[in-house]
Formats: sequence, structure tokens, C-alpha cells
Amino acid sequence: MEQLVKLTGVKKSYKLGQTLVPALRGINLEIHAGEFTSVIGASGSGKSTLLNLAGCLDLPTEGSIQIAGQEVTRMNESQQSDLRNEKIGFIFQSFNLIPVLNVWENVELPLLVKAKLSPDERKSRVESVIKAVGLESFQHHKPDQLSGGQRQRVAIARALVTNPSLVLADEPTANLDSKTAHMILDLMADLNKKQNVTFLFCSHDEKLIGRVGRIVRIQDGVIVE
Amino acid sequence: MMWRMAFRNLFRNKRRTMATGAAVIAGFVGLILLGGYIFYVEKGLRANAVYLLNKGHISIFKKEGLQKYATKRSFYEIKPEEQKVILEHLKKYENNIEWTGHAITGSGLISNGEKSVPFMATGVDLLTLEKSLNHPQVKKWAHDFLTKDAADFVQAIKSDPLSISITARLGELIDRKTPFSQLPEEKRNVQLAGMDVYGDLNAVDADLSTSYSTGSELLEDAGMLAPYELLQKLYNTDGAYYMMVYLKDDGHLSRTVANLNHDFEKDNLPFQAYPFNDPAISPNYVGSMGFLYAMAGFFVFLICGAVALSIVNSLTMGILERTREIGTLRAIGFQPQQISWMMTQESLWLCFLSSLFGIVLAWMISVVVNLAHFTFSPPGVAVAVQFRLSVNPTLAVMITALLLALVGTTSFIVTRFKMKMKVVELLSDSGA
Repeated sequence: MEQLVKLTGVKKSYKLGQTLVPALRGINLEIHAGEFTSVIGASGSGKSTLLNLAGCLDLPTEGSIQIAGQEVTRMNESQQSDLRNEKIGFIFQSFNLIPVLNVWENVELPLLVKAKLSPDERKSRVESVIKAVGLESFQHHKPDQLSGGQRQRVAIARALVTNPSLVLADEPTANLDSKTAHMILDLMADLNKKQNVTFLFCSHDEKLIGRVGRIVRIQDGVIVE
Repeated sequence: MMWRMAFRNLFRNKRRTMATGAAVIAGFVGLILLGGYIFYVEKGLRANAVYLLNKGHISIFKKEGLQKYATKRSFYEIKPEEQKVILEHLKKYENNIEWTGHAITGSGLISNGEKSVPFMATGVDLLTLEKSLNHPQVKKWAHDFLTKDAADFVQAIKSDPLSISITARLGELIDRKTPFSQLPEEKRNVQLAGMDVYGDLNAVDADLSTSYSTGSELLEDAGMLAPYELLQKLYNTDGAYYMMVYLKDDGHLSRTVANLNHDFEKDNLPFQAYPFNDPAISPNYVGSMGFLYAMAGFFVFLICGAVALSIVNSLTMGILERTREIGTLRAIGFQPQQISWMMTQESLWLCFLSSLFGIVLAWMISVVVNLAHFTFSPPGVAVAVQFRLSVNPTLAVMITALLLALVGTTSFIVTRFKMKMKVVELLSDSGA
């Protein structure tokens, strides 16, 4: 299987006042195309930091990160933005939708970064992902007119619209009730199976881990399983 | 979609948008009314200088005559044959010349038979007087400078070539009150005495016909307007102090004057042309406009500063409130400059809409102020003028462009500065 993400000897520390707090203490991890991987661990274990680094949202203090074969640590800000737009989709815990845009416009947003897509192609892509997440009849609704589960579906559609190699989800079900959380996970699992979308998500909900293909357990900044 | 998104963002925090919009509107109205007032004053002073003070758009003197005429008038006056040479040279520009005129100036004493007081007279040819006093530019912009009977002067000269027009204050100094036309004939008759161009004393009879205003407080006690021929007779000359050129379009005034001087120099002719806005020709115009421009510059600086600070404040608050949203946009691949541009678009929308509202408000204010007929006497001006405000469309477009440029630049700088945060820090922000 094609290797999408490779973290080698990754360390990350944060400065809190005068103190240097280590969040990751030497991580080695590989994510391959088509995997459905969950990073689990207690709060403060470093899973969000790991996702941020894998998503090119932050840079490590030490170590190497390769995404789709490209070394992230050597990239400038603009190249990182391009990489995120082209290769990575993000699903956030709080959905992070733009409140002034409707469902269609929120989903279309990542396609506007690059002008290379024709309006017809944009339309076709947006239609396709909105259909995939089952929100055809809500495309003109604003985020505040949707339920939590529907909002997260919009976020998933937005993450998928650029046909990314990897979708990262940081606690995607944390703000949802258990029934909706399962529906969202089902949707992600379905997309993984049918469309071979690679998912890497983190969760502290042990109940959900049975549904994923691979589990990476992290504790005190180190992968333990 | 980015413009649409920017527009919708204006409605997120309506109170703040309205507060910032109000600051932009206030700034816009301030600038447009200040600009409108200066525009109106400039037009008035220009029409006064060019037409009512008989300077023309271009005044042509004997070389160094402007400075030395008073010391050796017979040498520095423009003789009739020289006037013909000048007119010949002006043919090249005739497409843009409305008419040309002649003027002679001088001083002396005006006497009612019992009392004599000094005067400073300008003698102007009849064509110039007729065209100037009835010129559309004067009627439109400088009617405040006209006395009630000023326009009757031309008719008075036609029926009586000895007619003169003096200021009301000079009339009072010789115990003659306006309207002079209603005075008995013996009271209207005065004597003018002066030194001719050869240094000998001379005197002529004259008849008070109408009053006029010099527009200048300094000249108002001695101002006299006389027929060209009458003053030539008083000063015993057939020459002129200067010639006036009245242009149809003064848009290229400086260039025309430069070309004319070049022609004179090339043909070795001893003449010098000056534009009406030369400080030596129209010190009142230049001084007043200089003061107004300096004052306007100060207010424009203050207003633009206030508008820029309002925008900075509004944007800073907007960025603080939307930090996570900015982080999301960065995460999905937007470049910092794209987000800066999006937020700048928001400010541009606000500025544009505020400007539209500001035009309407400024127009309403100007209508009310103009209907109220406030009059005042500006420093150095002899007459009371109405305080008028006008909303000039070209100026409105220019000020809108200025504010859009100011707001756009300010917004882009502020947002670019704020975009320096790391994506992960933006995303982890809990919002203001």
C-alpha cells in the first residue's frame, strides 16, 4: 500500500512561560493509503499534537515528517498551504463551518483556493460530496439551521471535496450525542470502504475504537500500541 | 464568492458594523462638504480675479512692467502698435480665446468739489466690462461679489462715457451715498486728478454711475472702475498697463502661458505673460486658496486618521472574534494573503456602502445649509458672502476612491500583520 504519512523521530515541545513542556517524545508512525486509523489516548497524551503535525498545521521541534512523499519540515508557509489544500482534508471537533455561508458554499470553499478548476467541475464535485454525505436537501441551509450531526456531515463533505489523499479528524464525534456519533463514524467508515478515503482521526472515546481498522494508542507523547 | 462572503460578514456584528460605518460616513461627509466648500470658494475667487478684477486668465505686461510700471509708466506701458503685435501672436491660440481686453491702472484724487480723497482706479475697455459683468462664471460662482447695480455700469458708459463706478466706501468718503444713479446730477459729478505717465498733473470730469466691490478689504476704501478711454485721458496716454486674455477653457493655463512667453522670447519681444493665479497678479486668490488648502490638508489628515483608526479597531475585533475561522481557512489551504484580501474586501464593502450613504447625507446637509442662507465675511474679503456647500459629483467619486484606497490599504496591512500567527494557534483559539 502507498505510504501517505511518515513520521520519523518526531518530537514536539511547547514553551509554557519558562518551561519547555514535551508533547511528543519521539514518534515513528506510518499511515498508508486506504487505512482507517484512530489515534486514541487520554486527554493531554499528545494525540491532537500528532494530528496537527500529520496535517501540516504545525512543525515538529525535531524529526522528519513526510506527507505524500514530500518533506514538510523543509517547506515554506505557502507550500504547506498548497499541500494542505491538495492532499489533506480536515474535520474538526467543533465543525468549524463558516456561519455566513450555506452548506453548498461551505463545501465549495476549499475549491476556491486554486483558480484552476472550472465552475462546472466545481459544481460537479460539490454536488457529488453533498450527495455522498446525504445533505442534498439542505444545501441552501446555513450552519445554524442544521443539527450537530448535519454540521459534521458538511465538514466531512468539505474535507472530501478536494479529493484529498488523507482526511484528518480531530475528535470528530466529541460534540455529538452517541447516536449521531455512530452515524458519523458509519459515514466515515463507508467512505473509507467505498471510496478508499484514508482517515486518521483521534478520539478519547473507547467505545468507538471497535469500528476502526487500526488503532494507534498514545500515552505521554509516546506511541505505546 | 469571496466578495459575497465578505458582504455577508458585515451582518455578523451589526452594531460594530454600524459604528464603523458611521465613522466612515462621518469622515466621508466631512471630506465631501469640506471639499465642496473649498471647491465653491475657489470657483468664486477665480471668477472674481479673472472677470471682476479684470485680470483675465492671462495678463500680458511689458517685460518687468508688472514690477516697474509705477516708477516709469511711459516706458513700461504697452503702446497701441505693441498691442497689435501681441494680438498677432495670440492668433495662434485663438481657438481657445474667448476675447482679449486692455486695462490701465493708476491712482489719484477724487473730489466732490469740497473734499478730495485718494483712489486707485482700473480702466477697462467696454467689451471686457460687458462680457465680464455678465459672464456665466460670474453669475454662477461670484455673484456675491457683485453689487446690486454693478451690471448697470456698461449701460451707463454707453449713455455717458464719463461714467465711473466706485466702491460704496469711497463714495461715503466723498459724502456720496449709493445708489449713485439716484443722486442729483450736480452730486454725481466729480473730478479726478492724477499724475500722467510723463509726471505732469492732469484732471478730468467724471460722473458717478454705479457702485462695485473690489472684493478686498484693503482696496475697498479706494476702489474705482472706469472706462479705459477716460483713464487714458486722465493719464495722458494711448497705451495700456496690461492686456488680458480670456480663455474658453483654462485647463491648460500654465502651458499656454509658458508657450506664449516662449513665443515672445523667440521673437525677441519685450512682453511677459502671467497666469491669473500668479501671486503677483492675484494675491488675494493665491493667499486665500493657500490658507484653505493648508486648513483642508489638516482636516483631511484628521478625518483620514479617524477613519483609518475605526477600520483598524473594527478589523482587529473582527479578527479576534474570528480567529478560529481564520485558522480553518488556513487549514483548508487558503494563503494568508488570500484571507487578508477577504477581510479587506469586507472593509471595502463597508466603505463603499458608507460612501453611498454619505453622498446622500452630504447632499441633504448641503441643501439645508444653502437654504438657511448663512452669510459671513471671510478675512480680508470686503463683502458678506453666503456660506454655501455643494456636493460635487467628481469630488464625491475622488473622495470615495481616496477612502477606498485608505481603508483597503489599512485593512490589508492590519490583517497581514495579524495573519502571522501559526495555523495551529489560530485553530486552538477559543474566540473573543
